[in-house]
Amino acid sequence: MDSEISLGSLKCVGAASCIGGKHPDPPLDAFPLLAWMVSHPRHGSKVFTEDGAASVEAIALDVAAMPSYEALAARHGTTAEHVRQAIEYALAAGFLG
Amino acid sequence: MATNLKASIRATMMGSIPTSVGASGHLFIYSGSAPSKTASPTGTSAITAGIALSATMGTTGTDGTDANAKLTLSGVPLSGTATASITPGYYRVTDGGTDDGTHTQIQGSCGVGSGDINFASTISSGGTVTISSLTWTEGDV
Repeated sequence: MDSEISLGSLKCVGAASCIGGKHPDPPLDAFPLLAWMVSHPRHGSKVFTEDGAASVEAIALDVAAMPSYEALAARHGTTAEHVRQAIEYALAAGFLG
Repeated sequence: MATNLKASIRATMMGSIPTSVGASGHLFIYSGSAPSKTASPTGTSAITAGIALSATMGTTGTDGTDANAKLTLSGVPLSGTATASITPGYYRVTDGGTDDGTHTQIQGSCGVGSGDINFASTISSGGTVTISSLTWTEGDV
């Protein structure tokens, strides 16, 4: 009878924080698939999908012509969930709606 | 049935981590889901250059059962200035300042109120990111 053992069950416990800093308005706390930095190499100081594929602004501009998460995702090289959060952020920020 | 290892084996395993990381280890924090440990990182890095670790990386000690089965990150608290506003998703410890997937020594999860490294809040660009504590324990007690 073959036997098998499973090793490598490393347990990791850590705590961390971030104090201060700038954040866009509205903040990104409710949008984990979005990110922002002072000078993004592709998107400048815009809110963008955290995978770096597209800015919220670019996605928002395409919503009227392409009202499908999947189609927008394919166009911008990201996922439908990233697109959904970008559109929700655009609505919250007043870009859309 | 759980797998149990001799205390000295557990200690050897944990002691090998700082050796493998070396004296120039860095810790990187990224948004999104972790890719394969050998792949280039995905998502946005909270601190582009990462956080430089202590030259000793970590020290081993008892996990309450066996000596040296628990590794504690040295030099904590360790801090860096955030270069992006993100929700932390995963972390990597690398054996140097480059993270391209070939230098990954440890990869694990991060989150706000969850994850291996539990952040108190999201990360804001320009803010001070602090790792206040971090331990790894060999699990085959």
